[in-house]
Amino acid sequence: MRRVVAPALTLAFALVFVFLMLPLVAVFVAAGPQSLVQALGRDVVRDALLTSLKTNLIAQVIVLGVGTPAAFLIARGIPARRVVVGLLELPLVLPPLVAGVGLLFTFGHRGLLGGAVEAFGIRIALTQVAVVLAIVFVSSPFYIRWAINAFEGVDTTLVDAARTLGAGPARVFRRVVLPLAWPGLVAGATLALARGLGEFGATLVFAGNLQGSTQTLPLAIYAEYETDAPTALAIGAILILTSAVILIGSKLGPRWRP
Amino acid sequence: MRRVGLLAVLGPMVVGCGGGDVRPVALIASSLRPALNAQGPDVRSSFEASSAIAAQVRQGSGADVVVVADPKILAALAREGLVESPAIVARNAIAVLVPLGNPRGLHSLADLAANGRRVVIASKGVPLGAYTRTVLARAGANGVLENVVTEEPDASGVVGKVAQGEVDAGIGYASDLASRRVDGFVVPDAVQVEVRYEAAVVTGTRRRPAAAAYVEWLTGPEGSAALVAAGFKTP
Repeated sequence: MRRVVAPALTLAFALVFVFLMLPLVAVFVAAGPQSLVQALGRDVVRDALLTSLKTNLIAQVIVLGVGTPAAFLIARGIPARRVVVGLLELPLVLPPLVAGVGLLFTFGHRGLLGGAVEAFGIRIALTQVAVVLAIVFVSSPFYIRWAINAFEGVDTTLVDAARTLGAGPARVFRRVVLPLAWPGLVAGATLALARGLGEFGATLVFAGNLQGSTQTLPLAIYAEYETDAPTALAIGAILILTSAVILIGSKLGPRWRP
Repeated sequence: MRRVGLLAVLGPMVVGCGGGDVRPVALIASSLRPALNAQGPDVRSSFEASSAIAAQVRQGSGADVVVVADPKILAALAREGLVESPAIVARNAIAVLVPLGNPRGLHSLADLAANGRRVVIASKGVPLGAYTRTVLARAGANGVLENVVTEEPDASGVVGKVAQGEVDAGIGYASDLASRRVDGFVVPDAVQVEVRYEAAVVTGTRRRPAAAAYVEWLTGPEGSAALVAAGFKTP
């Protein structure tokens, strides 16, 4: 039996790896190395890169800043916890297009909060703010899900011991909880960032597509694909490289901990 | 036993994707959707930007018949030997689209260039986007481009953004006015462009008879009636 199992496992691993990697390799093969350099010289690519970096940076500051305390509270226990966690996972499985429509009908001109927002003279739909909101909406559940698990995994006896030894709640959080939850938080933040960089559907519906303003890398791929396929493929390659650096870097990177 | 069950499920799926289906695959310009969705002969239709349709034909995506909003696209595909000789199907014109009731009171292209107006147009790679830029140049209304807040990847995206009321106006097709989802006006003849839809059978398709029959239907009385009802002009 064992003689059958080991090769079967290897085969399964090989299938998984090849099936997931081959399409990514195909993008690089189709794009070609020199087109990557050429693409970086084009305004549309540079604008999209800057837009993507700016909006994702702001979005992840929001996700971490608000998501971390929220996840901590959920992990400590709230009423109907399982239902709440299930609800917070919904955006993960929602088609991004639906997310975009939902955001539009919330913050748009005719949305639930549209009137209230416009009373301040602010328009959100079809602006860079909408790009940030779309990214926060689709990526924050990844982080929050991991952060809840990370906080739940912290041994409560250690927390109790620290409290008994006289540490205040803030000190306990900083010196005990945060270091123990750190690997999970980093993993969640990494996934959220990678998901945000790839966000397309919700952005197109809610934020539109305008070079230098709302056109992120994935939107630029879509806009360029029909007229300038080599540039589109090069942007795709840039996106894959960026995400690979983030995902692998977070696993191999310096083992720094708070 | 389980393996047999899996094959029983997967088998027909694979065959179905292959060639068992006799209905031709039709790639149709997205602006024609109101006229041709679920109309006429039984085809598997997909509505997209004409430029996307051209890209798919070039990559051999298995389309049997195409209908696009720019004759130049089919001329190029025909030169490359990818489609048979095209037939004219319908005509259209460029129009300014505004949300129902025209809340901003816009009546000319110049009104769209006023400070603070929010305008949606199609991106330059799709036929509507190219027509739009030609019309604006002819009208001396390039200032409108300063007010563009989003460039949509196809014509239906433009109508959608206007219908949602997220923009003050959009530049789309005259046929969009027939949808009753938006109001607006056709731009003056002096700056108008000729928008011509053409259909062609994809070269070498195994479903050629059904594909050719679809083109025949489009150019025949029934197809014309469907197109006219949706606000298109027939050749």
